[in-house]
Amino acid sequence: MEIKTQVVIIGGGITGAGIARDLAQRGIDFILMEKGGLANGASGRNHGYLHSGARYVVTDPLAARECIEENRILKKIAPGCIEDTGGLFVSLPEDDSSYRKQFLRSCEEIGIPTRCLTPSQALELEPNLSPDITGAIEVPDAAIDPFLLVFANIEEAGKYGEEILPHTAVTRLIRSRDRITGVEALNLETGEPFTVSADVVVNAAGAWADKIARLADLSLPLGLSKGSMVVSNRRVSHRVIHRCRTPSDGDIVVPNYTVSILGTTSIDTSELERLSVEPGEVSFLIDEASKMLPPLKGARYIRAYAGVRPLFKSDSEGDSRELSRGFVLLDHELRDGVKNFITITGGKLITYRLMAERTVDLLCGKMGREIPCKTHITPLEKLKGSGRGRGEHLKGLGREADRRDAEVICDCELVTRGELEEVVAGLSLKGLREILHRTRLGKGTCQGAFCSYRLLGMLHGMGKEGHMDSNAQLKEFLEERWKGIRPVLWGDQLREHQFIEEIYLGILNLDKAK
Amino acid sequence: MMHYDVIVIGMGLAGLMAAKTAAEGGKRVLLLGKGVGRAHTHTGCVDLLGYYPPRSSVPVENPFEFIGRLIEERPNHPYARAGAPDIREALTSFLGLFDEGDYHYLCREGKNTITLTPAGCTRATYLLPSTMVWGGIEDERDVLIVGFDGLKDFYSAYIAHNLNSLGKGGHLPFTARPISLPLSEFSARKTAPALVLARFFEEEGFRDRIAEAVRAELRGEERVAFPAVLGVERSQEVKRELEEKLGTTVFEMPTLPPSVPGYRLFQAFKRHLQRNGVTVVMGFAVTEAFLRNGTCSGVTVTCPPVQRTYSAEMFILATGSFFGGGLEVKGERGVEPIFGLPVHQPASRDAWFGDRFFSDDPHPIAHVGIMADERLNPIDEEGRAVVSNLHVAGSILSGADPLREKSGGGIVLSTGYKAGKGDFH
Repeated sequence: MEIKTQVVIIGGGITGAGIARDLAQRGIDFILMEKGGLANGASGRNHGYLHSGARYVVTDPLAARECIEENRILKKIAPGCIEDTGGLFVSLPEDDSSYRKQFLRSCEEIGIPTRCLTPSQALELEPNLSPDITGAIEVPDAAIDPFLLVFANIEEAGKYGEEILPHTAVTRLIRSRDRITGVEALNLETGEPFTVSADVVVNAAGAWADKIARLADLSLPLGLSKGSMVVSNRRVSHRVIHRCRTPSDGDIVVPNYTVSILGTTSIDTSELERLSVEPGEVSFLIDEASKMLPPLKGARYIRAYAGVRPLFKSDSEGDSRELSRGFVLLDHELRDGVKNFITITGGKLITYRLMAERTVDLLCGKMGREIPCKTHITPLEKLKGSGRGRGEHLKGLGREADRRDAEVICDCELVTRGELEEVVAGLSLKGLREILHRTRLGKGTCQGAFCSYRLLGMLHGMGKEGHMDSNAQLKEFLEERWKGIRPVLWGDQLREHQFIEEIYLGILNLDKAK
Repeated sequence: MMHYDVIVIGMGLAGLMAAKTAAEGGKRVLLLGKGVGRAHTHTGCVDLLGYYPPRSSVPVENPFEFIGRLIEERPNHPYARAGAPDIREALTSFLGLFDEGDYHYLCREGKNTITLTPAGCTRATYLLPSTMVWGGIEDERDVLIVGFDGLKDFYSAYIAHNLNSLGKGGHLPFTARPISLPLSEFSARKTAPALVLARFFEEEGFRDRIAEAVRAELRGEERVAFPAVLGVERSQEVKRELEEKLGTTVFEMPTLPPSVPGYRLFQAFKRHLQRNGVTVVMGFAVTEAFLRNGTCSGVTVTCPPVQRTYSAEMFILATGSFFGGGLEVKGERGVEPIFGLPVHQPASRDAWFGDRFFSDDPHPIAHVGIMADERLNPIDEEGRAVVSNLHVAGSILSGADPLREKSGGGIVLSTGYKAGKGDFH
């Protein structure tokens, strides 16, 4: 089977999703291929931090400027996935005060609004802060749900099954001397191979970008850095809390709905597929973050996870590099003489739209088209509204308590049957993950131990189980969950782990199921 | 200070069994527990040895045959400590808790029975509550599985779908069909947890309405499965009445916790103990033990603002593993908080768990526990006795893999029995 389209996008993270939506808006046909599920890589494994740019303001002003501009745009076009928390950069007695001065100066130069707070003002806003802080600076940081952002972009970009192809691996880039003439791909679910030819091929595979480039006999000087994060079972701050010092490991705590996410580490790695978090990293992150927020020391932790950042190492022949240090846009025509191949990598969640805009501008040039970008002024339909938060939802629960669809399926995060039915209705289900990425189900203290079974029960009741082998799904879910909870199992979490084993091995006997 | 012959610490099945056995041996017994034990987190069935070796997925038919092998191959296993004769005696003693005309436990002539799980899998167990007797997997009669909209821990469509998949594979000779009754049409509540629903079933009106609705749905099925919510105190009667009204076999299937059959089991034990003069003190955690020259003289229990001290000749520790609170983590190490007993464990926390949740071998932490000699006296790594008048029973003991073996019930009952017998010297 041979398919023709204008653009092939490789990668279903936020970059690929952003490019897809931008192309759709400019009326250019495309096919997006992703070897896993959407938001599988770093797009789904980050802090959920909507930078104000302040983190980079001293060390990387250009990146900081991109951040604050995109921060303002995203708050307008995607308020539905953002909780506009604000952020505090707090100083501890051991922190260098000259950094703080430089920080304020740079924020002013770049136009990041700041407000200086005395320790008592800061403690009034955030009572869990250490009483030892010497000061705090408020900036317009926020929290963002990366999954909602990816799905909203994808949904506006195209149709599943036609333009958007998850679980589809690119196996080969067929190359003549100066062109990619075809993309060989494999549908991982059916095992069916197919070929697509396109005017332009965009490599938006994030940390996998070098692996993709190699399929066209090219290579990228890409380093990989693992960043680990730990999730507490309650939210310890209203705002993003950041240490006011040169960006380093373990200096940030981002609130995320009902929990807080502590991060992060940076460890060189070559492993992309099997990421593990070591108990030592967890202890380190808790020690560091609890210097700012002491209640984190004795908190209960429900999960740890890691993502991989691609790091583009300076390219000596890199005359084709985009100017920004935040991300890398490579025109392989200039770099390698391959006319219709582009790589976009690096960057941050928050700059995805800008990365997509620059990429599509470049490929439009290659196609001889001149169509202006509109993504910065067009709100994402699904993410309109007054901003995310569970408050309204919870009020609704009280009002609708006597309705069947108000039945709470996930007790930790109060996700209702009605909410799940709505999500499920729009999907042709292949697995639980598609639902888990779209709701808060399974993200609370029990990490889905009780509600994943209920969700499957509910799907069967709706006749929505399709061809899913539900016990295989349940086992796969528990294995995935295991990766996240294994590093944090002590104290109450360890007690709960024994209870969970009791349920799945003891009562359900899933260990003996084929 | 109140003085007893024996103080048992722990309200789980091991502690209950130890208290029962000691009381029947003529001892004055005090049973202390900070909670209500773990009976309500089980299926309500009593496992003995469902699978052996633990990683096998083929059910053991005759568990005693394999227990003999296990005792030879795994000398540190709690079954090796209890020994086959005491395991048998413990089970007989357990069966004696119930009156055979009423709700009671059965075993199939020394063999395991296959039951159905709430995920639609099969599972081997040993003793079955009389309300769960269902004819077995070789029975060709079709099964109607009744669920309730509003009961969140049991899904009939899920169960039937998976059973029928097993059936297509030629593993089952019957088919299963699900129905789900909206609870709101039978009661004032839209949702109810298992125990509340079980109380509804004790009301005749509710039961009749359910029976009528189910009868209208029957399409020739001769067996009807309900979640295990058929009454709390009068389950046998509820089952019998439903069978009469439906003209079919009626049986209960386990649900996710809390387990109503587990609750019934706990209540049966408690009633028996109180009738036999055991003092049962619930809700009190033991916070201190008085140790001197390797002997324990008494313990202090605390339930703020009340604090009391009791003394005894002999003590039995049956506080469970981490889940039950018998073991705790301090820093990076597992500890036994009451007596400070030596805890057998891997060298570091990094080695507590394997890479996969469903692994062939148990996570190393499953072996963390208290080591004991053949008299269930706690010992250290060198095999030396630690507290001379203390005996240890139940899942706090190291050396078992109860989840993969499906041996938890037998382990807690037999070690509880042996500890309670107290024929140590």
